[in-house]
Amino acid sequence: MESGEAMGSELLLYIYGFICLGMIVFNVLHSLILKRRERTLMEKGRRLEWRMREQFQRISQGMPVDRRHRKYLRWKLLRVRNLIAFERILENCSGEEAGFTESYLSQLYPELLYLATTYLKKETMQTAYFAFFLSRHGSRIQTDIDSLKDLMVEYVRKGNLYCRLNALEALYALGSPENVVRAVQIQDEVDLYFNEKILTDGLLSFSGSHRQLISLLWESFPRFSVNTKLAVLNYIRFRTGAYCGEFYEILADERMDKELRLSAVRYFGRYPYEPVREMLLGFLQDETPMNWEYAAMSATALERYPGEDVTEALLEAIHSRNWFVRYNAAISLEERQLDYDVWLGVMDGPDRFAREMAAYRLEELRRKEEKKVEAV
Amino acid sequence: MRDFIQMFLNGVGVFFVLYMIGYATFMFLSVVVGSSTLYGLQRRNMLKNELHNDYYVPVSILVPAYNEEVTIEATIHSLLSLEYKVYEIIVVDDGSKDNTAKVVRETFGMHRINRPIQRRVSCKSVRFVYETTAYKVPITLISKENGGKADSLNMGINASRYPYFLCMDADSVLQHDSLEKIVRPVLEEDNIVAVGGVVRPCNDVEIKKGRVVRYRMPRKILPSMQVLEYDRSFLASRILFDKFNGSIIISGAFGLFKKSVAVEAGGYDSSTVGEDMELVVKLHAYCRENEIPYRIRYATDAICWTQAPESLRDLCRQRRRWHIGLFQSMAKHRSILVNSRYGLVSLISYTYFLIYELFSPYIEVFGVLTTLLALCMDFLNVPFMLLYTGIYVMNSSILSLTAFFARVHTMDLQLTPLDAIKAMGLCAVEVSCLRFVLAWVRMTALLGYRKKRASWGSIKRKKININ
Repeated sequence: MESGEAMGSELLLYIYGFICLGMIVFNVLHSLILKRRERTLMEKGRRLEWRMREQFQRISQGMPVDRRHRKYLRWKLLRVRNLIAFERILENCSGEEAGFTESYLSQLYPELLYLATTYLKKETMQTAYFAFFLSRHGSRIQTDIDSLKDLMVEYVRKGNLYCRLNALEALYALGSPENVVRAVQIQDEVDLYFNEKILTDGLLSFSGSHRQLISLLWESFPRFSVNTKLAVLNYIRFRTGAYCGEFYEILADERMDKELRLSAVRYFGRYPYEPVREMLLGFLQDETPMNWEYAAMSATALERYPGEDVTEALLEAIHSRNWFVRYNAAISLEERQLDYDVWLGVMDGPDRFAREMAAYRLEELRRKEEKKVEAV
Repeated sequence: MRDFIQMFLNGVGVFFVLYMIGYATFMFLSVVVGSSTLYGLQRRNMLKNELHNDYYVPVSILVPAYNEEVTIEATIHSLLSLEYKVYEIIVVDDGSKDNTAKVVRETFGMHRINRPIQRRVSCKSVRFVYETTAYKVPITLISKENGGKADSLNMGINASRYPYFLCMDADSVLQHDSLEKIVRPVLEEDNIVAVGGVVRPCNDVEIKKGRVVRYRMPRKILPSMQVLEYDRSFLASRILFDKFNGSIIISGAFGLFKKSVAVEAGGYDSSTVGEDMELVVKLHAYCRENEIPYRIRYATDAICWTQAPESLRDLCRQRRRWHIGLFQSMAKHRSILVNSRYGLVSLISYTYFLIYELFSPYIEVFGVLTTLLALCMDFLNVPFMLLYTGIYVMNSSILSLTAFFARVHTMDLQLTPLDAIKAMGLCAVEVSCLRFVLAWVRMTALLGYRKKRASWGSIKRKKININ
């Protein structure tokens, strides 16, 4: 192994080594800078807090926020670090001070509007942070002017998931159903994955009138993609049972996406609706392997539908070839508080899988009763 | 003859130069990409570019256990202190010879049930099932016939109620926010089939309710060197592979999987000891062959703390096992090699693991032997060899340190100056000594592997300091 052969690689190793050394120096410097920044942020925070307290004092005396303070914030909060400090102070306001923040932020509306316009043009991470700020404190701003809400809808157009997410949360906090529906439409049109669970949970956190929001969402429903439709259906399921007719149409339409129809089955499990009973029984009794999900969901949904026909269908379903149908049917039967004799009948039957399931549910039933006795 | 040997040694020299360039380039790219990703993540979190609401994907946590009576109680307690709402804990006792099942049953006041378990993936028979709903989340204990770790995980999959399952080791502790963090990619991206988390050694680290209250380097030298090794491996290659959906390893100590896809792919293979790697490679193969869009992610901020072996004997056993697992997985899925259908997974990931992981011990030991031959034949330029070795050790040490400090800083861990000095001193020893010891262990691992291919590795356990 002569030296000449390896000179190239030796040089390469030197170069890599020096770059890595540079990275270690960067690590150390970065750590020191972070510590210093944190100290500076706290120092800035203290100064800002002192200025804000002065304004709270003015508000308590019935005076408006000082014009110079507004001008100061308009300039100061353009830097994201100052905005972070500002947010932390507002977050930590408690007691009497928390009461003043509403008036304080409402009076700062023009400055916040200016900042919203400026941050919209900044790097997306900073844009997302401004949206986060509004999602946390937007509900405290009392104003009839909709410009800030309109701007937040523009934030949803950004191609960054977190920016869209924070902007949507800000809109939920601002409580305007029209703007939320517009934002949902926009996010649906932008070709970027958005988990339907996030949308459902977000809609549930809306601070305005849910009745109005649902009504507006339903008007736009046909235009949404399947993913958004599913999120909206789930949201409605958690909020109201007043849409049985609409859900019935979805369930009855065989051309509709399977996930949407299954969501409708869940809806009717939560809100029993007599016209749908036959359809659910039909699903439960359908033994086509491809339709097992409808059968399994219907087995759960039918739990709250009284009547011998349902009990008989569920008893039949615990002999199903599909494990999930058997399992859900057994749970529904247990909830219907059947006599022990009925269970024992299944236990004496020839079907081993049904026997296993019945034994498990009987055990559960027995344990629940024991717990009740213990509680007494 | 002398000419022939010289020609042979020249050829070997060229091969090693290329080999080293390849390795150094890969490590360099990995560390640079890894460090910048971590710093980017830190900034992202500071600017609240994250999911900060309570979005919960239900998860079944599977804890396979074999002779874990010492650690299992602490592990379950740590799982109960996770900041997550919708999950269940399933402990699968694989026919332990000690009191693992008894400890779980009695500590958590469980009652016996006759729960039917659907056999979606194959596993050995159930002996008994215990359950309790007296805690924050349901805990299930399944005692089964002995069949190995993969078999226990398959049982856990069969018994799980939720659409995602998380596998972990019975001697590991999940950080308080780890479940939330490992689930995030599922919410952020479509088609996620698996997510790997970060595994860090917790020897001498104080953990209280899933939070690190005192971080320090392990007192013993061997686990300290493993800290550096883990950081290099988790920071380096895994972040880089994640960039092109090329991760082919998710540690068995901490990984999240989409149950439906794992079941369709056949679950864990109980005939291998490297069931964790095998499942991930199988998921790649299953999704690619069936043209299913998929993504396997790596969550850099989801942390699991685990015990690193403290004795050389245990470490050698562990590495032997890992190497056999690597060999089995790669041999079973050899069709991935030079296969355009697998894209970068074949070109970069599989090739890297083949050359720099599976064959590396043979190559390294071969290198030492040829150096000795060259020395005997007086063909060796000793000063140059020493310089070259020195540069290599320095370069590798710096890469290790870069990964270590990047991880410490971005995780907000406080390191004492003494620990920093210790890390700096030990990285050279790890690269120049431990690496060669482990190369020898890995080289001899495949001798007689068939006898112990489905057995649990036995490593001496001690209680984790989690208060």
